[in-house]
Amino acid sequence: MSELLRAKDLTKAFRSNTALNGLNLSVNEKEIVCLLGANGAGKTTTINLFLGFLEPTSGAAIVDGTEVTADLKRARSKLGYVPEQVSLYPTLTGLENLDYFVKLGGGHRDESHLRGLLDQVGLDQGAADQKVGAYSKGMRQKIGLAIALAKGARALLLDEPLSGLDPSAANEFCRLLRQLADNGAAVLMATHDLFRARELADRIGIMKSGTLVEVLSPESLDQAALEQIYLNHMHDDETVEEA
Amino acid sequence: MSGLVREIRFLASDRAALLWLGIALLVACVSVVLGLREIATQRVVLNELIEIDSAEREVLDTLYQDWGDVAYYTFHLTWDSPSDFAFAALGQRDTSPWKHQIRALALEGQIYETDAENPDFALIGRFDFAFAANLLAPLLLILLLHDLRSAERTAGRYELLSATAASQGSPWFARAALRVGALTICLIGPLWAGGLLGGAGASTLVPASLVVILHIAFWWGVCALVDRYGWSSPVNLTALVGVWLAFAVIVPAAIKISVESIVPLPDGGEILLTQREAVNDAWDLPKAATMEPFIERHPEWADYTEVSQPFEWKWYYAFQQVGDQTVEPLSQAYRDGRIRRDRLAGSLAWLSPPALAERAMQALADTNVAATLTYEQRVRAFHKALREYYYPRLFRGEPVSTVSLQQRPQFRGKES
Amino acid sequence: MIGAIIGKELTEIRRDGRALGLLGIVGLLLVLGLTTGLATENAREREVLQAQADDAAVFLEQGEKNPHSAAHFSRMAHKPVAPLASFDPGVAAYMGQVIWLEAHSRNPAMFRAAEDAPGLSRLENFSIAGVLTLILPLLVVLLGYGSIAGERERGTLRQLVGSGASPTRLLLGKFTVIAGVGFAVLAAAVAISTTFSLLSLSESGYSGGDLALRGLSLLLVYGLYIVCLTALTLLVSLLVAEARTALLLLLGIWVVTVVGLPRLSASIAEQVYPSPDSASFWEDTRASLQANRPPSDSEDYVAVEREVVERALGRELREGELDDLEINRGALRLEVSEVIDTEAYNAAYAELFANYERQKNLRQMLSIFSPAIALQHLSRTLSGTDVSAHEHFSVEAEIQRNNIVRAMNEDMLLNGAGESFGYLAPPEFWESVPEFDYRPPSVALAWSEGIRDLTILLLWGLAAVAAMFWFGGNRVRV
Repeated sequence: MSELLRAKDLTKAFRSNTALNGLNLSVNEKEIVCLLGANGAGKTTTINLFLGFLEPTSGAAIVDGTEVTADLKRARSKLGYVPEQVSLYPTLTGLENLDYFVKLGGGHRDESHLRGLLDQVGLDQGAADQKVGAYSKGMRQKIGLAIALAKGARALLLDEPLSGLDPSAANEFCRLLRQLADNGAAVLMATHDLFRARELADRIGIMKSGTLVEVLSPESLDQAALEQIYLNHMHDDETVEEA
Repeated sequence: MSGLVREIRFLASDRAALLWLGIALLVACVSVVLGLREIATQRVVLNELIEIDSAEREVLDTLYQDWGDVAYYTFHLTWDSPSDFAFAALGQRDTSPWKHQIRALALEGQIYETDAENPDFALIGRFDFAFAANLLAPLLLILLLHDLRSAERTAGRYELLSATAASQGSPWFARAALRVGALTICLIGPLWAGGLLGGAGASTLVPASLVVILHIAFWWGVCALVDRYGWSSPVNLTALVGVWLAFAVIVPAAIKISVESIVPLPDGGEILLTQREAVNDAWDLPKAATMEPFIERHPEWADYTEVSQPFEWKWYYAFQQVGDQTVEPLSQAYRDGRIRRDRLAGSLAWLSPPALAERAMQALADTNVAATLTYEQRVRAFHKALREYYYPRLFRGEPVSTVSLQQRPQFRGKES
Repeated sequence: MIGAIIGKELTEIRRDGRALGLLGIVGLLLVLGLTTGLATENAREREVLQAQADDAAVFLEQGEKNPHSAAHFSRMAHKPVAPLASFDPGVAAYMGQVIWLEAHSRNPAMFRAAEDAPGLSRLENFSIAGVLTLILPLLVVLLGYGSIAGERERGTLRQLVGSGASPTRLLLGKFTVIAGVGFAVLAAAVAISTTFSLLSLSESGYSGGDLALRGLSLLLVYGLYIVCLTALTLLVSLLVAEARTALLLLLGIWVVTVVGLPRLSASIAEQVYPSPDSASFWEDTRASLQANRPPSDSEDYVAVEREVVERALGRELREGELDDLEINRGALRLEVSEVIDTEAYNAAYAELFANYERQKNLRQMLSIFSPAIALQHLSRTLSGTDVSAHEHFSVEAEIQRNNIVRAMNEDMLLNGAGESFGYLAPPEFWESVPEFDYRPPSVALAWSEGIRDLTILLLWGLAAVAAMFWFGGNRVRV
């Protein structure tokens, strides 16, 4: 099993505030890891460090053996990224958007291949030729995933991709992710959604104030137990504040 | 009152707004300082010239025994001293002459002589207060006011603010009024400081301030109108800059083009060529050909027209005047045309508030086309007085005397 | 990949009505500028040609006359309208267009169209060059202010960079499109004015090849201006968080550097190196003329006398021959004074133009703060409508004045012996006086004049592009 994403003592400090504190985590191929935590826990910082949008204060983010700060281009070439809001150009159609992002990522796919990808992520052909301005959020997320797929990324970074999706769209999205992981991808997903995380993830990391406080295996837990553990960690926080 | 304090605090924390106000203040100060220096330089030059002028005349008066020589070699400085408010609107003073050295020869050859100012700078125009207040200030106001509403809309506070404030009058009005007021003070403050320093009185500073206020108020109205459409900030800004371009550049350009085509002027070169021809031909024509048209104008010298020598001064000055007489219709048409052009431009300037404000300030500063033409008239009047002083002495062949020289007309600057 | 970026940017512009509307307005302004430019310049050109013909007719038909009397009347030298004046009229309206080539006196040019202009604010001096200088920045700013900041706001920048797009190439693609649109507008404007000028290239003395080179040079310098503008726009868009802030800041920069600074720099230059007023100029010139005249019994004077007579006779004089020659001594005195005074006149005018040059150099230094200043200089220089082009004309006209007056004096000197000023030249003599065949300077002079402005513009462009890529590289803020 090869290790596609690895955080090694990864630390990011903004002035006095430590957003991420010595994170050690790895995601292997065919594996889905979900990061849970409140806002400001360090989930998005982690993803930004892997993408090279931020530079670590210390430690390293490594993508398939390549340290991000050492060779940003090479590291990014192996990453697929789906943000909370997949941002697209409203005046271009879904297909045109996909084509543009793929070309800018350095790849080239002919139209039938791109349509195949859109089909694969469940976007129907009529929608592909509509301008993105009229898309629902679920449709945008699908395009986001298609972009990641098109470049053949082996490691996927997802930042709250499910928020704002209706339940059936979320279900479908999760099914797609599982399928991708089974085909060999490593998936790191930040989310608030405990339910989906337990359904989907192979491992769950709970983060608090920049620190990874616990890593769980969901098979061993039921929903209520996970919720309890999560709330305990959050509650700790409050008692600390009170004290 | 607490509302005002709150708005002042908003303004004080708006760094962009402070930047534009700072630029406005700086621009106004620099323009006033440059204007004052320019006017001071003009005064120094003028005073030196006036001194040299009378000193030279004193020397010349002792040199010649013949009135013809005296009239030929004696130059008289004429000038149009800048008004105390000229620093604020330098107007046409850089392209139109405001001093001439005149002698009793044909005037048309002398009056179009131009100064040696750098034409590049005349083309660009001067950085005076009128420029700062009429062309730059509207742009700064646009930058200040373009997103009062749209910024709140972007920040999601618009509905809340409108609903809350509905009973106490528009919050936008107070906010805009404060910015407009601050900008106006940034402009008028330096103007008054400079004006009082330069000796301009309230009689010009008050109307000039009024012009500034009215003009700024116009642009406030434009900004308010555009802001009502509820577009985003960039669209507002683009539209407003478009309006500025239209009023400050395109309409004045259109005015200039239409004025010049509606009121054609005789070619200036033609005046000079015709006059030169007339004067030059006189040398070879029979003396009577010169004296006849001269006597028509000056019947009082009809008894003195006899010219026996190949060259006589009285004949020389007569043909100089006949030269002027020949081009009188052309010269008059040229002058009338310039007046008509200026008047027409004045009426059309109502289509462009910046042009209107510019003209108003030039009028207050006495630096407009009308002032130029008035000066030209004064030069003509002085030249006439000079000729009328010399004619009796030339025609009667009187000897040059100190007493007589003391009666020679002196050019007097206008009272400021 | 660049192709994809360019394609997408163009598609966005095409589908966004505002950008097209903007281009339409710019096009309209250019057409307006071109029509007014052509109309005014054509009218002026007709006037000049007519005046030249009138002047020649009067001179040739003056009949039997004393040559010195004719030298007082003499000829007018008319400055031809520079063919690219319809593109950039430059200082034409503010400099006299006619020089009276009078005996005894080197006159300044007369008749400035500006004096008959209605009093407005000078911004109305509308021309293609003016439109391009003022409005190209607006076009570029409006196309580009949101290109990075807007993508950042929408999140597409993050998405793009996250999916492996090279920020440098992204920037290059956007740069190409914005600069390309600006350049297309520019090329159309220059091509149309140059073509029109080529068509109306009549007797102005410019060659078609020279005109084409000037057109190309204008393309180059305005192109550089567009490069500066685009890079600066993208730079601000890179550095600022929101698109609307970028637009606000860019328009602020436009107000200061394009509308304000060119005027401010002129006013500063005028105060640092004041132009002499005409009264002092003539005062000084008269004084230096006096100082420069040697007494008539001095060796210097006699040497000039000898030179004048030898030139008139076309042979060297033997020792002592000068005193015995049968010539018109009055004419000799006249020509000697012309030769001597010309030196002083030339020195005075050279100093006047040198002061313009000093003013220009100071203003040039201030273009460190605004490339628009360097551009204005280059545009006028390359259109042949700047002060240096006028100086060239003024110098050539002075040479012509010397030639005309010399022809008159020599005729009287050789043929009027013993007749003093009563000598009359025959009516056919006037045709032997050389016509003024003015050859305007070639584009080479313009380039030597404009090299420093070009360097400044080039440095601006390089610095802006370098800064843009520095801040827009792989570490771009998303």
